[in-house]
Amino acid sequence: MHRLKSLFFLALIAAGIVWLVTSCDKDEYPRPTAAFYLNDYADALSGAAELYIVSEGEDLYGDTLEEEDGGAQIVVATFLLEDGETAADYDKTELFRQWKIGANDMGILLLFLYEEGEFGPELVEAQVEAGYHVRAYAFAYDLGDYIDDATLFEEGLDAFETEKRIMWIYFSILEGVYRDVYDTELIWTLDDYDVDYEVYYSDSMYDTDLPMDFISYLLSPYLDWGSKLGYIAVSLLVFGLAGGFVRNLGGGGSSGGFGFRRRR
Amino acid sequence: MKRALAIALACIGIFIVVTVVSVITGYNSLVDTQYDVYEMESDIEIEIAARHVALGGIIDAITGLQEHYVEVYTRITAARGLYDDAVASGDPGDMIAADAAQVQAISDFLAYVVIEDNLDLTVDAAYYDYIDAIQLAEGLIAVARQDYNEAVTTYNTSVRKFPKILYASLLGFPTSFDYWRMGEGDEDIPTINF
Repeated sequence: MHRLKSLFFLALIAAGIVWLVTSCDKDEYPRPTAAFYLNDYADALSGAAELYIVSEGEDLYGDTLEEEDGGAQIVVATFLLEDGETAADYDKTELFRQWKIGANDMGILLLFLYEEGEFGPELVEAQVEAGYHVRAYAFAYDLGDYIDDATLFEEGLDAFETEKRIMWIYFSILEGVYRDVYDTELIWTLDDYDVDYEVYYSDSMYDTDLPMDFISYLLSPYLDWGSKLGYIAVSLLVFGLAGGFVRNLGGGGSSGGFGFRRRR
Repeated sequence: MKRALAIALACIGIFIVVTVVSVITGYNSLVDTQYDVYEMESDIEIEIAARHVALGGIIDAITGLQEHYVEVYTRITAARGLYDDAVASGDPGDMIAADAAQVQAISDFLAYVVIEDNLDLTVDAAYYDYIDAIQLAEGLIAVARQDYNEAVTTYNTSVRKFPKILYASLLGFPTSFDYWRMGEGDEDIPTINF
């Protein structure tokens, strides 16, 4: 019986590993984070940005899903260029398609690329990509202007000021989506953003690090290896399922290269 | 005897049904993949047309380009001429040549013509809109070329496999499509560095 149990756990582990390997090797870019609307891989933005972007993103998607051209999604991604990487290594269209942003091809991807600087990540390039159907609306042709007007690459900007300007771009686009697509006026302000920045600076609702419980469980001297293997197997399956769930947060949209890029 | 005949007829009937179903699905599949190629080709041509218009707009929006950057100006006008010829001929090969010429002309323009530092050049307000239009078109063309080449791979692979290789020749489908490549033997397509 004990042998059967071990075999069962081993089979579960093998299935989990196969699941992870087959789900990872297809994608050129990392999967979106659990937050989906903000994927801060450069670790450049604060908890305030996450709070604003995720809550506005969920509202936009949820509130419009039943409307014509509904289910718009605006996703923000940041990446750190390292080990000789250049901006050319990031294909915004490929990333957009992998993350399947926006239902009815009504997605918008904002991609910010950073380099490691003396005081943290420094923004070097901003790109925006719009889904196939977004280009039917007037605001889509202003996406490049939004980045220009924010003067993101002005000399001497600190992390807060850069983030605030990114948020300005985000809300300008959001306003355009509501106005042109859903005929709704969005009222927004960033007047209190400095306060939120201070308060929520290091907060994240979507911490993806492994929990300490998981590690301490594996290192526990009081449990036999059968139980530990079982725990690993179940965790692998849950992570795999979670990965599948996170991928499904995308509305299924695609894009064809409609977008703009601006460099420092 | 009758039983043997019935079995033989049933086998022939099954064979005919399977063959007919296979031909129908094979034919439909070939039509789908063929039209994917045509659709992607059309997408590229639409964006090349947009870039052609923007290139003309740039020439009109800059005063002094022809006098101070003769080579760049000539290259742009030549690229525009090639595009007109390609539209007239309707040959995809000519359109690829026109695409390559446009890419070269724009790359040269961006590399050599620095508006901000050149007192001999003046631009009107529309100039920056045309640059944005070219950047926009370039992004769309790059993706459209990639999608086209993927559609061509799908089609070319499909018609080389059995039984579609039979259907393709019997039903008059093209045996292959050419890839959208610039320069002889080039796998890569040059990109414009904005």
